[in-house]
Amino acid sequence: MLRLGQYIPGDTVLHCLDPRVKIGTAMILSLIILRGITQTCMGVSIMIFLLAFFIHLPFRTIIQSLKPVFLFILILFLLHLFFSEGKPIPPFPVWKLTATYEGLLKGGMIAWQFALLVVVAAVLTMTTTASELVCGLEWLLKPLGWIGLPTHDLALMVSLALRFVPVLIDEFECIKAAQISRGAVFHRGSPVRRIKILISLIIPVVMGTLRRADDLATAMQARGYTRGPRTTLVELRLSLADGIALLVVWAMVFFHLFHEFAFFT
Amino acid sequence: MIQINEVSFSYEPNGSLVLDSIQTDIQAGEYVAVIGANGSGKTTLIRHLNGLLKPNKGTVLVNGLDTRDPVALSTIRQKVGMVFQNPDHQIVGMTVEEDVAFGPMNLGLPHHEIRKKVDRALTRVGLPDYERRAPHDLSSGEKQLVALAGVLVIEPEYIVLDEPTAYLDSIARERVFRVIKRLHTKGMTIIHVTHEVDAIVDVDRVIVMDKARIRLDGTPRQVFGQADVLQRLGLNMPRVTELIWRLGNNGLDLRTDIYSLEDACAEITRLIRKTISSPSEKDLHTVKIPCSD
Repeated sequence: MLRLGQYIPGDTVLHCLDPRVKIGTAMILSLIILRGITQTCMGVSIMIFLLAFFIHLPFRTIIQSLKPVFLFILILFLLHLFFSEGKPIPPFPVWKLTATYEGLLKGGMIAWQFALLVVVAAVLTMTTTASELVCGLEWLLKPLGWIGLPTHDLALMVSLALRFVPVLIDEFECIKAAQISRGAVFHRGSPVRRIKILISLIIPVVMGTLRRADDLATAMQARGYTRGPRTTLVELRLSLADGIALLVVWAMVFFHLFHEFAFFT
Repeated sequence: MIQINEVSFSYEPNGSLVLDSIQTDIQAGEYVAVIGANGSGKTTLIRHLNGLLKPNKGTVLVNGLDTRDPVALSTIRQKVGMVFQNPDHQIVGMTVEEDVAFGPMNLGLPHHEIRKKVDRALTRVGLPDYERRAPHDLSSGEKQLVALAGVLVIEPEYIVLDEPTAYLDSIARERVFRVIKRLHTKGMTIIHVTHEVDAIVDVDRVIVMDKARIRLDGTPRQVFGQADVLQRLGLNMPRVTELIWRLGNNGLDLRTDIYSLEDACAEITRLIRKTISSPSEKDLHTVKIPCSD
């Protein structure tokens, strides 16, 4: 199952924030994290620590959200560590490998940035239901509607995709069990053979999905789905907490700009 | 009232007819069951009722509105709600409340009104407090009830059910049937396609489809009374009816228009009493023991 940053029911301040504010915050934080300024990353880290501490976000779950990308972060770190020009760290160069101080700093920074990005996204999805996310997204996409893109449809597509992830996983497992019980072996043999046998799984899933899409379209039509204005169930309303959150984010942005500016002068 | 006037339909131009001059009316407040073998045209027929399919020939009028009229279509779909076979193929929301709200959202109702309606619909199907649940965490029976709530929420006059219990186990099936029957007693018009003949013995009307035509149309008593016709069409009859019919075939002097357990008890008791009070040669000796074939 997908466990990456799964929604945790609760009623903390973060849960109650407007989804638009949360999505916007996550986007802005990601942007300034990517600028790679130490002070900014430090600021964001402290902010996440404080949030986790004060509103009892399960810290372990936040760390767990890093697990799937841990290997990726490690590889990034090692690449920078060994392939950066600079002053070698004492035991190196060993054979042809050279770890440098510059590489250590750069790799550490990259790993830190990357981990922060994942954590920010995880905090967002841990405290926001999928419906709120889609609703917020739809609002944020509105400008695209002015140039004629069907933003309602786009939002519905996202929400349908999210809705059918568990259904598809179930179906995949079911077809796999059926194939195994008919003698298929999935975890042995040459890569070519494994890919071939994987195809025997993918085709029925794709066929099933197409059939389901057809049924779903009929059901949606029967329930009056047409192009045109629709209302949403999630009510978007800004509260005082949202205002404070926005202030904090802007403070963070100014903090970042100040340091980025100071860095160059 | 839904009027189906001489409706013919085929999926491909000049293809074989899936509906062949169907002529029938559905009155407000009726509970109509539609039975028939696979491929007899049941599903095609009911998909005409809310304009999902449009007749090649003839007309379908819902409260006087023609389903071929694009302007009337959204009104018709508000009047005629439809629940499909597989609950997993019709739930669009990520949470129960969001799915139930799908219809009212399409109608563009304001937010607070939608919430009220969603609560009411969920209460009507017996799933209050399910708003925040995720559909994939529910049992199939509950999913189907959510789908039903998603239809009830727009307050239709007619509910069309296309084998809603086909994927359910017997307990879930009974639960769904109970909800449907309760809706009917509260005045809802129900059009129900099913293979579960045992569950429809007390409806107002049964339509039997065969090869694109309506073969039988009448009260359950009239329809299930024609056991040999049903048998010929390869359809199940209610188990009680089948029992009585077979007993009759074996020479017992029983009425054949029996479809409820109570009637069957009364009829068999009557026969036994009669036999005991005046045992005749025929009753005692010519009765073979019914056995399955």
